[in-house]
Amino acid sequence: MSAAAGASTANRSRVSRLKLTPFSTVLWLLLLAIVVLVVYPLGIAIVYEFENIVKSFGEIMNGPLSRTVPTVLWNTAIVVFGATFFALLVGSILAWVNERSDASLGFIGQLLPLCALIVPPIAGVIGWAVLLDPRAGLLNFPLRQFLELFGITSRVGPFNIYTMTGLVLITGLYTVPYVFLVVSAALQRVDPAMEEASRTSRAGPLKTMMRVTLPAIKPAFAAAILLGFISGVSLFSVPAVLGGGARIDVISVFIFRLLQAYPAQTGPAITLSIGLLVMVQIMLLLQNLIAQPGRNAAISGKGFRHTPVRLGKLRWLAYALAVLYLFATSVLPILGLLLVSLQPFWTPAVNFATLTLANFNFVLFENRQTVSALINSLTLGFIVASFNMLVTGAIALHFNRNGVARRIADIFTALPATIPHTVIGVAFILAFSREPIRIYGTTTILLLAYIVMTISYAARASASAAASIGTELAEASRVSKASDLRTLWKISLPLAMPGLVAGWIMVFVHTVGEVTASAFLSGTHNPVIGRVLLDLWNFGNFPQVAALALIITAISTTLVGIMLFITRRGQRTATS
Amino acid sequence: MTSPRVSVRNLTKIYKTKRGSHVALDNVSLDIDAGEFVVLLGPSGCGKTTLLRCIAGLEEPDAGEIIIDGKLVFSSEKGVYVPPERRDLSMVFQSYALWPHLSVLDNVVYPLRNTGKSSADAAVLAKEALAKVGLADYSARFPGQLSGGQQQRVALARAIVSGDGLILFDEPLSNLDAKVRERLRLELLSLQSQINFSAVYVTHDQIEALALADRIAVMDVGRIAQVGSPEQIYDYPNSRYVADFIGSANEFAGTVKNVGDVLTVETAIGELEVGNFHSDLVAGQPVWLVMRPEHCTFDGIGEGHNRFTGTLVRTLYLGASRQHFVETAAGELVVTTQTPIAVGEKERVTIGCAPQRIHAFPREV
Repeated sequence: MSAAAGASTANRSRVSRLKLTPFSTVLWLLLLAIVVLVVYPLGIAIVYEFENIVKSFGEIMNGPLSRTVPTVLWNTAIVVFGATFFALLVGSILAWVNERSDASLGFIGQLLPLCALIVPPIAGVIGWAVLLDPRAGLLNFPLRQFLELFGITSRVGPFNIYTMTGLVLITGLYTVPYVFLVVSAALQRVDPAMEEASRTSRAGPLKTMMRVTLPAIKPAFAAAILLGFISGVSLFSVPAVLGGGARIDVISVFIFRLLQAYPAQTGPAITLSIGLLVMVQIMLLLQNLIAQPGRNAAISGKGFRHTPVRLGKLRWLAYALAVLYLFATSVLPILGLLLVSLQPFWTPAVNFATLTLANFNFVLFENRQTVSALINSLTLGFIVASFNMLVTGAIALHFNRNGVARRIADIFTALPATIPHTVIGVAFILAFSREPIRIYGTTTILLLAYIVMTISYAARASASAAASIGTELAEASRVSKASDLRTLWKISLPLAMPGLVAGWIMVFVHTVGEVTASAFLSGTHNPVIGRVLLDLWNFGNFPQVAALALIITAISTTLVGIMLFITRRGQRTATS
Repeated sequence: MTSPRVSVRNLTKIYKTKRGSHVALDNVSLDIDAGEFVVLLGPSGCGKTTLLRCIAGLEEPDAGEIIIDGKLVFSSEKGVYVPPERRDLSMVFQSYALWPHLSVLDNVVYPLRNTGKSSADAAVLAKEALAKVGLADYSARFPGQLSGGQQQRVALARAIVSGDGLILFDEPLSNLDAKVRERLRLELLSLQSQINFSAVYVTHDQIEALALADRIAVMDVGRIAQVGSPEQIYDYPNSRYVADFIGSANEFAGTVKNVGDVLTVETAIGELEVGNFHSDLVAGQPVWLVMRPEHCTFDGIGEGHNRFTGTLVRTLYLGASRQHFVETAAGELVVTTQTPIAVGEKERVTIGCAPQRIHAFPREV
């Protein structure tokens, strides 16, 4: 009798690990839909444009494009290598200072990796453009006046942001956080006892760093370099804003122009996109090879205490570098934007009597394009963040104890992150402007693109939120007579909430500040902030650009602030 | 006699890993009676935690049966698997596993609410349980505000509150300081005599096992090597493995010379008489001899005791006792004494040991 009752239970609960329940069926279907959203547009674009792709080989090899494409590739290479080198230098110095020296950066160290979230890159680069425009740059102008004191007069300069150097430095600025995070994480995992053993073996701090610490984190450097390459070739906002004035095209912007031309050159655009995709895939493969766990004896547990290296007077240099970096990514561009947004017209000689809030008023309430862009972007951000966190959160919590299902879900959700946004943009345009799914020019296409582009962030945030809950907490609930779903609802979900909210904010901020896919997929009928910012910039409505950029910066900063508050409080309750 | 509370029959659990499969439980059978305190003891990886988790329903065995209070909760043959929430038991974890977002009271109330008790009734019962573990005044606190020992007491209250009478313990004291551990050990025993629950208690700490258990099951790579009272396990181990794992043991090789009331064994330190042996042993058979350091003496060697000599290498002073390392022809030997001895290091000593204190186990050659 009891056996019969038990048997029915067995069938319902789970005997085999991948057995589907209604709940997990829905989750798997959603995952499948996301994979389809990645694969379908790419496949359709390649199938329909096949003839054009073949034709484009000729155009690129010896046709009209044979002169421009090599230049574009060369430019891309310079920007990517230069920016990565810059980021590697700055990022790893800051990481080492923060992890290993007595100049621990504290709060700044926490803010550093978040710079690109606090100030969206598009706002940052516009900020730098208004500071260092050769004629009207807000920094250039006072510098010229200063130089005049020494008899040096000039109507332009001394700095020009619209150059290869400008492009490299600004791109590098936004690559620093990647390097910083990767190198910091690697340093945290190096057992300080290894360094202490070196010190007690009569090696000085410098020798210890060169002979022990750096070799131990060599794989992290390789990973950081590849990460820099990947983010560099895909970055759109910086070259889109600076490249025009500099007359320097890099691949992501060049592909965009090919599609904007009349008639649109879809063949070369998709061919170059595929090339870009292949390149990124190769780099990811390399990165996986390098980052293979277990390769390095240095890596052991966590939570070490180490004796910091005394920097002495050099400490102030370290602080200065960190503060300079924060100024460069946030404070200076924001000040530049602020000054321009408060002027009726962008002039380098700021007349404080004429400052006005009219631009904000115009952007927020009067200009139909910016108002609907704001509404669209915020709505899309809300929907995308909620959808992605709901799906990935449910997956992470539901499959927390089921290794196989979790790994499959991980692969699915990580897939979109391996595809540059430019490629997603191109594929979506080509696939969704024709039957059977003709949604180009609608908000739906943006919604789908954003979901695809941010699902990996969401999945990572959810996974770490779920992983932070010890499995024993859920097990304790099960033996306390709570069912699987009740455990999810009463125990796992509340405990994961801070992490999930932080993930929601990250996805929201990314979506609102997104430029690449926005440039490709948004238009007059479905304006979003990223696209409108570029348009206003290209039309020369600088004060309005500045105002709009500041508004999204304010939104981002506020939300990231809330995120920091939540996660820090979360850490406190978890560890105490 | 009443039927056992928990009955584990021929349980087998195999983990499949990338490097092949690992047998965590190999045809294990064990009964736990009402009100009995059974300790599963063994080194890490011996399957003791797996067995506990199988009883809890947190793991699903590959073969066998588990019956709790006469109710079949798992059977591979009949395809029965009852999930943990319907097995009427509770569990205390090594990490305490208190839910940090709930107050102490809410943590203890939780199991009661899951069985449909009204919140008023549940609160009354939870407060009673908290009072039993001495935490009546802490119900409004959060787990993060308590010490490790207090947290484990809350977990204990959570385990006793639903009154199932069967509590599983997964190394509950091993995260605590030595002092707190000893204190909680006592409290656990008095709590058990108060409410008379059955306990299955996993530990790798032999002292803890000896102190707590009515019966100990010593486990060895997926099998139960010996089950018995602490005295039986300690004084009459049935294998070299059990003898070695419980307490410390001197071991040396020998060959059986004669089987009689006592066993005569030829060893490198001479002929020894052995009182504990299995009747299967025959003359000429290779054996391991095992004796405990505290059963060896230097002086006051009794009539009919074995005597052999060695050189004292070193003496370690351990406070309550002294540990002497003696080099003999059969290898190094440890002797523990309560009082200082008159012999200095590097000097010859004579060691005595009663035949009934020496155990012989067959030795594979």
